[in-house]
Amino acid sequence: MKQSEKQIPLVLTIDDDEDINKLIEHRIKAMGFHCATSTTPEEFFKKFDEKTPKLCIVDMHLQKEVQGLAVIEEISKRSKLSADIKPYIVVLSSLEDQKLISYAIELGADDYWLKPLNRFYFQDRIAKYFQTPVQNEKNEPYLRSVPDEYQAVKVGFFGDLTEINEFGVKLSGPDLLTKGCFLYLFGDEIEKATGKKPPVSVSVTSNWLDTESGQFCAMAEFDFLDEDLINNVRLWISAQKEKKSF
Amino acid sequence: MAHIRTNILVIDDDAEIRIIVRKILEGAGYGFFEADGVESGLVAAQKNAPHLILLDLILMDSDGFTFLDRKREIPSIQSTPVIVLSGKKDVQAVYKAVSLGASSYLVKPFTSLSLLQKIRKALLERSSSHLSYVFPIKRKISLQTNAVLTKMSQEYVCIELPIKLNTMEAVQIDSPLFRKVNFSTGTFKVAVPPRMPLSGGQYEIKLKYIGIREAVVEKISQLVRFWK
Repeated sequence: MKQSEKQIPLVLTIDDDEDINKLIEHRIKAMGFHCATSTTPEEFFKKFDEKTPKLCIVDMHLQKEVQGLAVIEEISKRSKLSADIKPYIVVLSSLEDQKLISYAIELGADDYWLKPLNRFYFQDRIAKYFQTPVQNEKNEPYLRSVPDEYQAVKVGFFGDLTEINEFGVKLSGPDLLTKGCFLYLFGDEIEKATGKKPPVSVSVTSNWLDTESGQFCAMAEFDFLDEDLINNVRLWISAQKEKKSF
Repeated sequence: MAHIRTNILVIDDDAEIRIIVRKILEGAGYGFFEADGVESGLVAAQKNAPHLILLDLILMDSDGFTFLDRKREIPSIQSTPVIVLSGKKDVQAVYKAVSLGASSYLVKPFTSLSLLQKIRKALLERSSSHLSYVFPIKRKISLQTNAVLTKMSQEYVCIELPIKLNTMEAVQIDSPLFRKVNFSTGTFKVAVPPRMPLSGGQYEIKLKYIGIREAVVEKISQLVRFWK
């Protein structure tokens, strides 16, 4: 391969449907990029190790199983070993499932594209991964102001629950929760501890950076006027201690 | 700012004493539970998880020493402080109660002031070891907060919220607008992490749509083209 050809980025795809692979390959090559295809994880990782792709397109369902997640996880694992081989990971799927999308992102996917994708959209999205940030910003559609009636939204994200005490919860994660901010907590642990059907509201009273883990931590307190909830929490904590002692 | 109401369990065989103590405690803003014997006291303590126990040494079915002894065997209440109330002005009784785990001792008759002082002192000593459960392995949970959707295009949205979102994981936005355009999952990823906070401690964050159908992109494009 000539030096100039080496600089052309490579897209590596995995899809158990040969026809889809051919279609993707055709579209990518038409953009002037290299493309390699595979139908099994074994073939995919053989080519992955040999060719160092810049972008991986992963089909979620391989041989009728959700093997795509395992492929994403393995790419992320290998990428962690060497920063030089960290490619973008895009999932191509017909499954519009919130949990599956969230899980793919958690495992390291950069994007999740829903099939079918027309040629224009597909190529436009591929191009974004090979353009400079300046080029991308130049081509970006204008952000418009949202009318007042649509401005109020609720934003959901994940956090780690590290402790429940009689005043509230201790949370940690990459996000800085500012003092005074109201949060709604979800999950089985919250329901069991408070005896209330989630969401359970708390307000952040303190925050700090844990220098050891590099994570932000926060203490968020329950509504103290809800005596029933506070009492349930105390009983739950006591019960945990009892379980622990057996 | 509101505070958690401190609940106190009073175990005394004398109904009159329980009424007097109840009046004092409720007047000082404490919550009150009562029992007249060892068995009923242990049940009430486990059921209500009080912050403090006031215990008489003479009880209906046994004595306060038995209660203290039994309480030590029950993990859920073994750390709850106990103030012993008794007419026994006996040094041996004090030693025995303390050796069985009582935090302090108050001789009857007592004034409301001396009782409240003992309670405050016991609670203050206990405050550094409040009830808590630390998860051996941290649990991942979903959190939600209110935010303002300020700007939008068919590729990105901007929100303002009191959280500096740095997460690499998926972010969900619950909005009537996204339901209107059939973006049912409302899933996003942080595209540009926040830098400095805006005034009022809010952060502006740019997010990109994840798992969005072409038809929905078209709908959003049609919708936003008429906005400023």
